[in-house]
Amino acid sequence: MSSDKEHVHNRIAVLRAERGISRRELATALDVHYQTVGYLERGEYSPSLHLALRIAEYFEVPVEVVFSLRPFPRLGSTA
Amino acid sequence: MKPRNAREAKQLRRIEESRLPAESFTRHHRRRLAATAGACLALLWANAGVSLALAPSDAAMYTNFAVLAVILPVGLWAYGRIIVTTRGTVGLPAHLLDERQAAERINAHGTAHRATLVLLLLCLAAVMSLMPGEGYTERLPGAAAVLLFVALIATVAALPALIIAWRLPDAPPDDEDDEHEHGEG
Repeated sequence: MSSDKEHVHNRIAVLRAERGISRRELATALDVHYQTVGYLERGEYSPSLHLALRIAEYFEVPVEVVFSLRPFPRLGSTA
Repeated sequence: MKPRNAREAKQLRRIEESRLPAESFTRHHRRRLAATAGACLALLWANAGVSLALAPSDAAMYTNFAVLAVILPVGLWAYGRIIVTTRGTVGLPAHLLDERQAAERINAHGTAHRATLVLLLLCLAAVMSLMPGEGYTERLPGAAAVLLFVALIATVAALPALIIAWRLPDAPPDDEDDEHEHGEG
């Protein structure tokens, strides 16, 4: 069922790095397996709406800051 | 994802604190385990076929014992390794899985359900072909019928685990923080 059309881009790795949080710490906070965080960051798994909202809540940002249907602009780009 | 009793806590600890080398958790290694377990299932089917052709006879009986002597230890070993190397996606109770693991399990059960339905229809066709009207008991030995059911039950029970082991991608590498925390030191 998953295809490029259904791919959801995310900035979990960036937000996690900015705040100095390890995958294991994030996974514990979200009550998911730590490998699931890795699969999310690699874009190999798209979260449920519930998990997406919990991730946004954890980082204290709106959900659209973390997830997007279009690729996020690279750091330093003028887009 | 919290264990509800001591048994579940022990299961979870066994998986999380596994001392298997890192290469055991690669897709390549998991696929080899799935192939080993699949070969055990194939032996069970072959065993039923031998009984169909030779039972009742000593040859069928000895073949049956030999097959069981091989597949019980090898199959149980492979299944145990699959539980650990899939990090519990196979084997753990559903409430100990997160949504990704639960989705993997549901997808595998869907595929296994379709495959075993085809297998059941093939078995039905095979058994029906061996009982054309009266006198079928002479063409379908009781031992073969029992072994056919054993092979079917084992396949229905094990196929989802094999599919999960085959499908799971390589896990993402641990991030640098984790490597420093869990590395030499």
